[in-house]
Amino acid sequence: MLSFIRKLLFFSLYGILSFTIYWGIFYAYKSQLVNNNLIKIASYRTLILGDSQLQRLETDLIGDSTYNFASSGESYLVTYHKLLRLIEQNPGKFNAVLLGISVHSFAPTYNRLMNVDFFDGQSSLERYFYFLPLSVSWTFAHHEPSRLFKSIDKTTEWGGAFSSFRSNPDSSIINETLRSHYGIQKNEGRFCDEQSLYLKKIDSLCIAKQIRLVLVTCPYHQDYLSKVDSSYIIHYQTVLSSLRTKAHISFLNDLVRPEWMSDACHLNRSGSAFYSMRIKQALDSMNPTVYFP
Amino acid sequence: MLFNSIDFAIFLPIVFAIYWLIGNRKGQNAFIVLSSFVFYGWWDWRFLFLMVGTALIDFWVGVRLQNQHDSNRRKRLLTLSMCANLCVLGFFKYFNFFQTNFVEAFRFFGHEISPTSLQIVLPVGISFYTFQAMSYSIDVYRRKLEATHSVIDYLAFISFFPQLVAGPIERATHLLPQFQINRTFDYANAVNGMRQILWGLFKKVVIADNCASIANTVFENSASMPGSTLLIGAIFFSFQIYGDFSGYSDIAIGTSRLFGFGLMRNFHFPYFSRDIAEFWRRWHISLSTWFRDYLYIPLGGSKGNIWNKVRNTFIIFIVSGFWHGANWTFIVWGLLNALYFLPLLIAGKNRENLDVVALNRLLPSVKEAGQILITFSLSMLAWIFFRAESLTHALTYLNVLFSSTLFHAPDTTLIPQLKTASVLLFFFLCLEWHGRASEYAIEKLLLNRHRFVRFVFYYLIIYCIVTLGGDQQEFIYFQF
Repeated sequence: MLSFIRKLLFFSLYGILSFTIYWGIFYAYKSQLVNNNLIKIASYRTLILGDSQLQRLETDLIGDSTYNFASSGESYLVTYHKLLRLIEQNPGKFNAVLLGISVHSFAPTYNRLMNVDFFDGQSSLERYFYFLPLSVSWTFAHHEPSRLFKSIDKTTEWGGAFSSFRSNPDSSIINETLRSHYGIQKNEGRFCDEQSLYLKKIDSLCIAKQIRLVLVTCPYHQDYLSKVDSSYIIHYQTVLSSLRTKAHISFLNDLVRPEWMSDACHLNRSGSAFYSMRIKQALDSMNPTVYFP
Repeated sequence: MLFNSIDFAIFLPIVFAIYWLIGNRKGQNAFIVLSSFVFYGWWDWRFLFLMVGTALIDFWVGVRLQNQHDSNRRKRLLTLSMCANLCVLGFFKYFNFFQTNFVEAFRFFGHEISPTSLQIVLPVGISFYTFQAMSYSIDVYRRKLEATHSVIDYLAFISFFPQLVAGPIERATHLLPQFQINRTFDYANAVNGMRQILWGLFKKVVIADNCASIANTVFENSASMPGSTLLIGAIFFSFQIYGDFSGYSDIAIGTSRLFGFGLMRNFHFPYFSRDIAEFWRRWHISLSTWFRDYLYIPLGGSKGNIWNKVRNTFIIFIVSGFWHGANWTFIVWGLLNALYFLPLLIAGKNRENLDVVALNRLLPSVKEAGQILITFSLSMLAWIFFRAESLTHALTYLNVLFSSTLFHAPDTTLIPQLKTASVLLFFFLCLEWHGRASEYAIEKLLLNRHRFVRFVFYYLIIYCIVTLGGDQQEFIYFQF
């Protein structure tokens, strides 16, 4: 039996060693690829960050040196680490960050994006694995460590500008979006507190690094907004008022033409062109002291 | 405790080490009982009392049966044991089913009755350990086995953790004597066990769990999918249930080897069967042979006229369906298999394909390939009833499957993992085909190659388990 245990231990040790070397090399290689891409972003001065709502903005209409780094279903935890990584690698290169914020930013759907027990959380970890420090990924997936290994060879989600040509979403699309944003599963909280926490961290980080943080709220389809529980709107306003940054461009209450919406909460190409221009105008008219406290 | 969990990965080495350190048979048996209770109690410790309660009745009945010579008293004792087991099984597994059907039947005749609402939780593995216990009582009654006078040995036999919750359903004549002899550590057997555990984990985590994500998506959205996609769903469910259950059996048998026990084989590459009779000799062997020995043969088996044979065949298939679950879908699944079996039985061709298909050949002949494909298709159609939520769901599924949309391009938007799962399935089937003459696919694979080659192969399997495994799913057969 001792021979069996000894050989089993050797087999395990060889295995652990081989896998550690393999994964270590693979991780280092892919991290380097991500770093190289991040360095390229340093040629821009303004960053657009946030989820898919901000992805729809027409970057060229907002400013010459603007890079759209927003990504679909991105939580503030990921945004914070992306920004931190960019700033650490390119200190003093960025002047301003346009960050998406909206009512659904604190909805239960974001709880699932931070929980690997859900498909959304697993996908989130895999897509943003190389933007997150290993310690954060571990906290994410410590109860299911195989998720970390599965994420190593997954493609990193870069996001970026995305246009849609769809328009006039019907009520089924709007209701489905409402359900996916606000439906509560497996006793999760009504609000995603992690989102508020990391939003405040982004706020503090921008202030500390002297980067102008401008919050941007894109419009929703009217039918969507009218059906959102008022407690979420109140929560969104409460979180906004708790931030030190007061620069906020909001189109929340705009009555957007349905032909400008590709679905319940995303502008299509036409709507995006219009609102990108309005963001540009708002930024130009903004007193610099407002958006840099 | 799931076999594919961290809990079990910690539990098994600890139990293994202590077990072999103990050294004497009685101590080892007592330790197996303790470990099995921990293993079972991990789900819900309250059900331990249920298992121990029925086990003690069967133990007492066994001792009395051994010493009793009056045939009427012996029958009464056996009846007591059967009633105790079947009542527990009936209450926990079938109460809600019968209640719902009674209410429906009364409603059909215009009488509304309000059912008593009982939230009955099904104890894990109840169908498995109950059948194992019944086999003990029957074998002692038939004087095929001498009753044990050691309650520890009996509890170890009933609760042996590798096969407690999902089989193989062991016969007392096979497993119990193994608890009554001294066991010595056998290096080759332990290595073989480790290899079988590895293959079982691969089947479960890589094959079954990946197939599950496709099958679940298709079955849950079957109303809005074309027939071609439903065909994909049915194929992947067929491999899910095979990978899941045979994977569990492999882990159970491999784990038992580590402790010096030999469990009966439960699967023998059933999807390479050339007819449905062969399929049933190769699928869930421990249950099929249980029904053969304790139901089919006592009913007369293949003796008598053709109508008796047909009746007996239908009885065992329907009972087998009902054993799986309290739902009409399982009964129809059993019925359908009986119908498949019937032509072979009537033509006397149900024992034609007893050998390994295409033995010593790389590929099957065209005829054999056609037979394998037809047998797989028949079993796949039956699995649709097994997987469906209700009979209506199954019939709707089949209706769409056999519509003109079967020839449309499959809708794969909801199943993005299809390509990966198909590639994995292809390699899996290649390995299974290659190893079809062995007890499990990789039993003898690369054994005559250098250790380095073997290690690389095993590491590759481990890599697949860690990185390519699907979302963790509970073993399907736990619900039975």
